[in-house]
Amino acid sequence: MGQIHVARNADNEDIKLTSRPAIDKIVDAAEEQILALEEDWDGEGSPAFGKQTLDAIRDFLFELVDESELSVVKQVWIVPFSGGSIDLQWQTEHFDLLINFCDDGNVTYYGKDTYGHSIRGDSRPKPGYISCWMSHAGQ
Amino acid sequence: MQVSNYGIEEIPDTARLYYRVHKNIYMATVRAAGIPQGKLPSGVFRFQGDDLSVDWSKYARPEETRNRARVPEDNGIVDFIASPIRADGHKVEHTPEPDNRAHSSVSGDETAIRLILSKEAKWVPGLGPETFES
Repeated sequence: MGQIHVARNADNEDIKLTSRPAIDKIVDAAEEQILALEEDWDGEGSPAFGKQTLDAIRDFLFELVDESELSVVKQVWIVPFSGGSIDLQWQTEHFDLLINFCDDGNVTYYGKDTYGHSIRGDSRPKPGYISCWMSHAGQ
Repeated sequence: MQVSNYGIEEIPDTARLYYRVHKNIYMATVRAAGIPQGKLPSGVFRFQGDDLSVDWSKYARPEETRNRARVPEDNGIVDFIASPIRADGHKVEHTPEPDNRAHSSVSGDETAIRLILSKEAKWVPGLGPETFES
């Protein structure tokens, strides 16, 4: 479909997410780091991470690329957070977006573009909706 | 809840606030995400209950905020201005404690606040990750 997404792996190298295998590569790299974090890794009593949370992130990125109309480069960070939840975070020239995946399946998100237009929700957003917002953000 | 004898003041929009980041949290988040050195991922900003505890620069220097940690050398300090938080509808309030007149609270939508701070907060020179022992 010609879309190009870019993420970074643990070595801070850009990886183009043009296909599911490419997404697997970036999620696998994050998964290795995140699943290695033991209980109370943050000193605040957080549990160890469950693979199901990373699987949910992988599925979301698959759908995002499948449905995306993006033609600009995006960068995604996969960030461990408290309580066993994991963030997907974008920090780009046109927008910032954070989607938090909890280990119980709950999802919250917030995004804001350079013009101050924001999106937010407390359930899993449709990847097509996020893709559409990304493609128009800051324009 | 601790009761303070210090009066509660209005924090101006231009006020600078300090937040403590523990090295374990910072290192784990940047490693997993492959985040460039110096950037602050959303995962380092942690609510305690309903709010984020910070210090108001009117009554604290960043070194004092760091020294309030159990192991100060394991922590870095970031700072940010109140206005971008308030501009998005969140609260920045002075909540002094008996032993900390600078104590203040950031409250509102946690996901939104974490994202805003990830962009707006910056390491205080000399109190950033370069000071963490490996």
